[in-house]
Amino acid sequence: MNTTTWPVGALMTRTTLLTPVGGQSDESDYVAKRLSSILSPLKDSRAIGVQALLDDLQQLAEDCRHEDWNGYGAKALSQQSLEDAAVFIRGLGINSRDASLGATAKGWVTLQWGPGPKWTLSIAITDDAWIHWAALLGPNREHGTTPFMGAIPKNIAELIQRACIA
Amino acid sequence: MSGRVPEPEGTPLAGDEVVARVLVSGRSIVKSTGAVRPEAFDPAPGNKLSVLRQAEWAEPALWLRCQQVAAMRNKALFGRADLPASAIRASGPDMAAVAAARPHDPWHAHVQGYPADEALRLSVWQAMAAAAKFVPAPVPTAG
Repeated sequence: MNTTTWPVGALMTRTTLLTPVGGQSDESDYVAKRLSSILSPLKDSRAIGVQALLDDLQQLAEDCRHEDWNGYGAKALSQQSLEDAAVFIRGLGINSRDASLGATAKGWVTLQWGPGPKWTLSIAITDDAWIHWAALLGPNREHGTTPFMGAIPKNIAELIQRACIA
Repeated sequence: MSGRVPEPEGTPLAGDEVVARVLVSGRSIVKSTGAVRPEAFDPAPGNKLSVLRQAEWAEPALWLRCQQVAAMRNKALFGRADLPASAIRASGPDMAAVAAARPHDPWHAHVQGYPADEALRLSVWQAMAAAAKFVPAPVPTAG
């Protein structure tokens, strides 16, 4: 029998493993079905979270499609920023939970995580493939800029985890 | 309002003076928590953020001023974000709230000193948002 043991933590974090796997025996079939039943709700919640954010992104694009949407001379949302934000959101998986969307006056999409304004991570997705980020984690403040190449940067994924842990 | 005269342009406000950013977009708050979003303190396209000084103004008069700001911008009033000048000063090394009287509003002020670095700007907005309190616009009552 072809068996591979995955730690539960790995199963929970590897999206590719959310797809039920076929087995070679009754035992492996049972394990595959059991895994599927455990992970399906997780898969659904990820999909729901991502879809909800994508729906809100569409609404954001509508709300901010004209200049001066904020009453203070903001630029309309950048098409490139919107497209990159959609790619970013699709890559979020479970990190889509508790995220909320906004926009800067320069026309960049923003995302924010955290239980409240004193423990939060904000990122701004620019129109030229950069992510500016700032984290306010209790008394600690951090900020930085990282390139966006189509996948969630590792440091951003870690920051999301830290912002959501509180 | 008493007979107090606004300070000259550029005078830093006292730390305990509360200023208000008039909000005309629902995108200025996090819907799930009602917290002010950092972007509410984004000064672009300029580098100074217009705020109202609240000193000595009673709530009804303050809301009237907020309504006037919204009307000037052809927007519906959504609410305001209140925060003390001391929190603005603490948000970044050069940040300050200063008097900036206007002919139509002697109690206008500017938040200024925003850094050029975009990530640091985001951090500054974040610090201000953490100190800010969202006050929703009053619902108009019939009659």
